[in-house]
Amino acid sequence: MTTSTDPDRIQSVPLQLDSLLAEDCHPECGGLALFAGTVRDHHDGKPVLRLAYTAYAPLAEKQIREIEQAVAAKYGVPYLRVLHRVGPLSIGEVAIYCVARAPHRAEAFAACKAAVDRVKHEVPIWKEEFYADGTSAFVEGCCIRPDDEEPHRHAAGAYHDHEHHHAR
Amino acid sequence: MFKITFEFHGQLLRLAGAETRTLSFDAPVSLAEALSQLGEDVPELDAMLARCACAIGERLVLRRERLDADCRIALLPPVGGG
Repeated sequence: MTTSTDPDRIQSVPLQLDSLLAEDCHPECGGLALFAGTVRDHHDGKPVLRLAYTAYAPLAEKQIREIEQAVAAKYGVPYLRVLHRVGPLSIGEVAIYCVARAPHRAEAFAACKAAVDRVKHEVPIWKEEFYADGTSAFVEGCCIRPDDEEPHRHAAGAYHDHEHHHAR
Repeated sequence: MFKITFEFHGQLLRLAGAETRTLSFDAPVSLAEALSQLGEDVPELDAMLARCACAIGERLVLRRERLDADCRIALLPPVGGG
């Protein structure tokens, strides 16, 4: 159930930014960083008509909350919130919001970036792209198997670190 | 006898052509052994299983864990949110 103070992190309705910006009051914070990931109309040179996100909600909800707590603690950020959309999305719609509030902008930016990176790499959410030629494909992602002999292996077999970004 | 229901997510749904697959076992098995049986029963999934995480509810399950009672296991292929 979504409330104004503790919304579901995985939502099947358009994400509402106002509630993220309005809730809580942190007078000690002089910086608010906001990231919004929106649906692109292309991928690897192919026109994309729309997307569909799906998630394994029981674990995704838990993991996003854990990421928020861990990243907030690491950067000393009093407020950090990530929301991710699921379901069919049109071009330009918001897929993810991350809001970080911190005493100064540097921590706010850093926490916002770190949280989004971790959600993209660790949380069980999948993106299926639908192309103009009538085909569709799931975007190659990151292996999250905890006892993988080769941790963080890409589906395509390529390795990367968390500083490498999936473009958005 | 007990049953393990595997729940498919992401591209596994397409590969399996179904949302779930239930297998029966006569004796306790490790998750690795159960997955091996799943790969034999649904060969379309076999190549993907090594790259899948497994979860029961909100808990990730390791390959070495023993399974001896009815359960539902979510199979989670490589993720790509954001």
